[in-house]
Amino acid sequence: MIRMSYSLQLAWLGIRRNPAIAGLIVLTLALGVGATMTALALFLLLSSDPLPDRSGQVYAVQIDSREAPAPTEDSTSPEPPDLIGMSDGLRLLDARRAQRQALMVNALFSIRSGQASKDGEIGLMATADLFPMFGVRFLYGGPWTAADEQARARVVVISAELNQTLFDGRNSVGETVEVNGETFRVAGISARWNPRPHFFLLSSFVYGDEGEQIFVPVQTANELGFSPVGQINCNGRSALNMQSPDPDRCRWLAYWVELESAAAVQSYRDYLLADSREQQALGRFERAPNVKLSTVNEWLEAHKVVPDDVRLGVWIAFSLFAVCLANAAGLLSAKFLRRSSEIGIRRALGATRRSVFVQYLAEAGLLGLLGSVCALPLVALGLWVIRQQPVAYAFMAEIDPWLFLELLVLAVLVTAVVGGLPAWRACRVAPAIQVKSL
Amino acid sequence: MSLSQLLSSLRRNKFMALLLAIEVAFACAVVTNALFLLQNKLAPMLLSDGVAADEVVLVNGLINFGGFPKTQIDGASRALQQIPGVRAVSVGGLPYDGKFQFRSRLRPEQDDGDAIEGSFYLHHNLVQALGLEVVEGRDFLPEERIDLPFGKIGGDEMSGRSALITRGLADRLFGEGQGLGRSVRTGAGESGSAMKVVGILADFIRPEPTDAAVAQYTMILPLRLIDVPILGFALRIDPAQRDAVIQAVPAALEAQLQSQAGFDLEVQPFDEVRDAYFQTSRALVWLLLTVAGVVVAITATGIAGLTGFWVQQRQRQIGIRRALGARRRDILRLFQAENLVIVLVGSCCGLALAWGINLLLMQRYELPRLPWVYLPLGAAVLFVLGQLAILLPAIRATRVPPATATRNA
Repeated sequence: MIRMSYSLQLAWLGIRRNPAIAGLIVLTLALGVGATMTALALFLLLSSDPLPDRSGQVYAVQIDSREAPAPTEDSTSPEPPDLIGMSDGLRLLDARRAQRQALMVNALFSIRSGQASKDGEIGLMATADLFPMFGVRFLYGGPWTAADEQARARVVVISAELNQTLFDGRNSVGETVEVNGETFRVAGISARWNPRPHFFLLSSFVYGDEGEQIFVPVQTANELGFSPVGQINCNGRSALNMQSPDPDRCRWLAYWVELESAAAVQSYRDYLLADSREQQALGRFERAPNVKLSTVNEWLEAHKVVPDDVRLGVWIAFSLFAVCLANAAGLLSAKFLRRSSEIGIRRALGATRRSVFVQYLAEAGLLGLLGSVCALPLVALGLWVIRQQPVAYAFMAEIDPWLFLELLVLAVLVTAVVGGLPAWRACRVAPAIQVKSL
Repeated sequence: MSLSQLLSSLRRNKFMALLLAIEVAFACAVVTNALFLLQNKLAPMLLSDGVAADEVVLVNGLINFGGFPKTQIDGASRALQQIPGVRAVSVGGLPYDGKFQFRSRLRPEQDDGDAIEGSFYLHHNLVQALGLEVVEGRDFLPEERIDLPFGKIGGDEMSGRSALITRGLADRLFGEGQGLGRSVRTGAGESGSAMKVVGILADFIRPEPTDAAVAQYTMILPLRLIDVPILGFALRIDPAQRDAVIQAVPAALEAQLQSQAGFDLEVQPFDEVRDAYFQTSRALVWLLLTVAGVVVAITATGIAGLTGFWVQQRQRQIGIRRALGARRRDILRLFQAENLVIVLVGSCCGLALAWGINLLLMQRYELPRLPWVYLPLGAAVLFVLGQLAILLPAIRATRVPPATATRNA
């Protein structure tokens, strides 16, 4: 322990002996570490798992309900469409072949209760399994039931935030609210829920700072003629009418299921294929059965959710880091070997190679730590610059202290390893020659 | 001084030479790729879009999922035309707007050669409204301008129509200077539609010009879409009355187009639309410039620092050289030559590394292959950088007096 603190003391003296070179090394390392941390922090934020505990068993369902390919179509895309129609969705839903299944689409709602009201709130028209499947927690009450859906009951789940506006945050389960002019009963108040990225309906938005504020059973909403928002695709000459889309010929809903085991995935895929074959036999599907199940991560990967520019940024930052490390190693070597005669004397007086090595490694590590700490303002600056950019994810560029600490430790380790090369060179200085030349 | 002499001196300082070469290799790889990415992002911004920018105002953000009927489109066009200061109006998809665009495989008729991807604009009056230059042939005739319901795009309705194409597209499809009077076919095989080229445009960019090499593969058809969910207007205006026109547009449109939701109307001068479109590209250009600058600065200080140390180590050797008759110029040459050898070796490794990085990036992102001219360019940058960085320490070396040889250190 005494030797370690002695090494550190010598290291500090070494740094102070040539502050210009030490400053240059610190600056070089700070630039490299700062750039890498900024790029990596943004990348990790954007690619974080939206369903941390359960993303492996939640699957997006795709079936191919498109019309037969037109003769002018250059190539038939093997990928089934992302979205499905109301008729197909309700049929899959009623079959209940997965552990959990939900049909969903975004919509904008006007909500009123007494004097309080909110217009243009983003919400979901969905089915009850969505809440347990996507990990939506409840402050009061709970989800509506399958029986409510069958009965086209007028029930809603509202967010804590909306509950604050409408009911001053009290337990409002059982009270009534007016949604788009229709009277609904509140079944539950959901805790704050805003998965980033918005994986289940990427066509609505990818990174949002609010999340859905109200949930309405899709069957009820459909019957009342509530209009969805988002993407819509239709077969043939059907109009792209978002106000009341054609349930048979248009696709605008997402369908997600939860499957607990590989066997369940296989049997669900078989079920989907059988269903598509049946629909083909009935003349509803015009293409050969083509189904796909993707986990959340596969889904995000396939839809290139993390922008290419952000991925490229990580590459750029790492190559900059490599350049900085190479130069820091060069400057460290110059700094260490300038003191060759000192090393020679220490060795001649009985210091082992190992203790010389440890001393110089400590000096390199100390400089690495200084550089990494100096990188903090650079990271803050980098993230501030990103927040000024006109991109959808700008608001997410915030410093996460834990992430920063992890990266800091990593950076110090990397610089210590890189400092090992000059330190090794320094401890190999032959004492006799150095002492002779004094 | 002979080469073997130079190499033996480098061999005796292997460690320093190796470190310098590594620095040069990394810097070379990064600078080469950064310059290439920079050129890729910059090229579309430097391209001529063919539009008389200061006389054009664009109107965006008109959406109606039920479709805008012909009567409303006619009414809106007429209302815009009547605003004082407006010289021409055209309705359809607009440049620098990816929301509503049409792309197709294009190839010359009676030729089964490879098709290339191009974009087409569907407009009646785009040449007038954007101030495009027709270098050969003519603009569309009144009888050629027809309305097309939104659902019928790509069908037989398009066959046999007239088309305007850019010089760039004409040269690519039909060969240099050819194209006027020929036919362009969309789609594959016997299906698709053939359109006759009645005019050639000097320049005109596609709605989303991300790749400069194919950004000019543009075509205009004299079709105006009706029952269409998205409307865009291009207005050619008197530049003196621009602000007044921009003020007057929302009122003129509101009277004609009913909307339940209200529009997110954007009325902007062409330059502002263009600026907004390239904003993220511009940010990336600055980022790459900064990275390249930082790499160059860091490498320069690294080389200067190491060389300075090296000079100090070799004071005695330099003194002996001077005592034996080497002139100051020879000492300078010695350091320059040494640096040249190191940069040469480092650059070779760096260029291999640069090539590797490019291959990796090509696999993961839609990036073209690194053109070979970037390799000598990257090496040249490092050569200049290396020679400048050692100048100061090398000059210090020339000041070492010959008497040093007689001293002990």
